[in-house]
Amino acid sequence: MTRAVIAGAAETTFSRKSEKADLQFMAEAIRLAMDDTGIPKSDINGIVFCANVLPDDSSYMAEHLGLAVNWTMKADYGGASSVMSIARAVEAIEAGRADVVVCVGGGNRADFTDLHHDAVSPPIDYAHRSFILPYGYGGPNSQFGMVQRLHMETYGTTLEQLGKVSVTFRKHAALNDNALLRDPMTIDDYINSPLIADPIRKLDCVMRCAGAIAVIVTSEEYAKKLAKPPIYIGTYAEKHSAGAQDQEPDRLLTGFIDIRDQLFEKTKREDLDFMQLYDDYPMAIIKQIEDLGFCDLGQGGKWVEENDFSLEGPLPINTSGGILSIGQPRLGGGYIPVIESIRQLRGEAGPRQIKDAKIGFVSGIGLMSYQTNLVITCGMMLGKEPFND
Amino acid sequence: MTRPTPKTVPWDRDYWANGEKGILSAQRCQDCDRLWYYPKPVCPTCMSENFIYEHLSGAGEIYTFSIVRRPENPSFVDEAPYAFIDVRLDEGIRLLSRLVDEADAADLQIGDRVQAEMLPVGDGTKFLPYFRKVR
Ligand SMILES: [Zn+2]
Repeated sequence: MTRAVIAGAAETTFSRKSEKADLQFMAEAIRLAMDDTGIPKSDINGIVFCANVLPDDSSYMAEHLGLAVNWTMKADYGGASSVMSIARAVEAIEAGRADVVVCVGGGNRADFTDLHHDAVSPPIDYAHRSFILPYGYGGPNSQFGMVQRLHMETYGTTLEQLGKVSVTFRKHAALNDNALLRDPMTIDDYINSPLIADPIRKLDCVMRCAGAIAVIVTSEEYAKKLAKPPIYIGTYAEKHSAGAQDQEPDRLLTGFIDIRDQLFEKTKREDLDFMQLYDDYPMAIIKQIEDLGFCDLGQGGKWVEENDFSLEGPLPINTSGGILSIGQPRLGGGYIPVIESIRQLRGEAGPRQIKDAKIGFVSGIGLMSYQTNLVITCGMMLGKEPFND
Repeated sequence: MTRPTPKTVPWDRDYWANGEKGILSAQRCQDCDRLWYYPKPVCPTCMSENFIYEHLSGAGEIYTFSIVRRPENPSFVDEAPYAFIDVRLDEGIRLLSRLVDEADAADLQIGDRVQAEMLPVGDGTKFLPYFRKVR
């Protein structure tokens, strides 16, 4: 059977202000990924766009970029779109539908609607439209505020523990030229930052930015012709709408609980050299640590307090600064964990290189639920060497 | 920007009709007895379309909440900060809402008892539950 691998990836420069539209950013990221891999445009015969239902159909978007492909789709899975797009590309390649698939996401800031190439109002799900927005919604900050308050009240999670997440990632960001937030930050800076959706503070919130990232997935056979070695893909699992069938779902539980045994069945937690976790809030990191089984439920704050997850620690997390310090380029934000994993596994991470990094775990999370937590959770193992089946 | 008004869909007509009469209701499956909120096209347990909108007591407690300081929709900015609450009704279902009187937010705690009141939203043609603290 054909084995799919990652050939390479690239990101545009990230910025707070830009005049460019979404498709221009995506095109630039694709060009840069072609440069990274040496793959010519003529060999690309599949593409996944990380985008909401609107603004355009995936086949039209391929047409706008001049890509005549055999396979295309849109990954509309919120922040999890990026990691999930790679899983979909793997399935297409292993099924023989395509040979070289570009996965791309990004664009201009979500709040600059004029610069979305097809300016229409964003699609809003039924529950938001009729049962949340009429009250005056504060965005995902509102729901993360609810999760964080409940976690702090139920388990005694502290601001110092949450702040350590942001401060650690900020230290990593100082070693990443493309991170937008690189100034040193202290736990006091975190605690004293202005309240946005109590208990969510300004330094809890991911910063929207403009930019895009593209990752190219292909067969191992094709990748062997390329200059750079491929990145291998191990176990992958995803869960949607966990708790949707329950009468009283717990707002503190995520779908990672349902897939963690599967995720760590072949590759064990102790085999990992690093983790790159989707971090739109420090609370999201604490929840993932717990729900992925690195500690008991409710003990994520304590885990953060007691463990060194910086570049100096035994299991570094978000070594490029995470989305919290780099910025969130729309649905391309989820490629930040992926591209950093590729660099670490290739030994291209420069001053933040983890010595002899062989296996890493990346996660994707997306959309906030009306009454549970995350609507979408997924995880994927990436390695320098092939994974055993 | 105007305040959004909920849009009726085929399965939630009775919910809005009850709201106009000041009644908070939720769907109950007539096949498996499951109760749920927000309105859904089918029973989330057995997928039956055989449901009725049962009247609720409106009594419950604060499950969790956050304080909105930066509303996404500018038409709410003059009201901020305000509490955005997740309420557990005594019937064993949860819903998102706001307080009728923002003065109740001052000493709001998880576990506080609250009581629903239907208030107009958006253009005033639809009603959603808001809550008062029971002291
Ligand atoms: Zn039923």
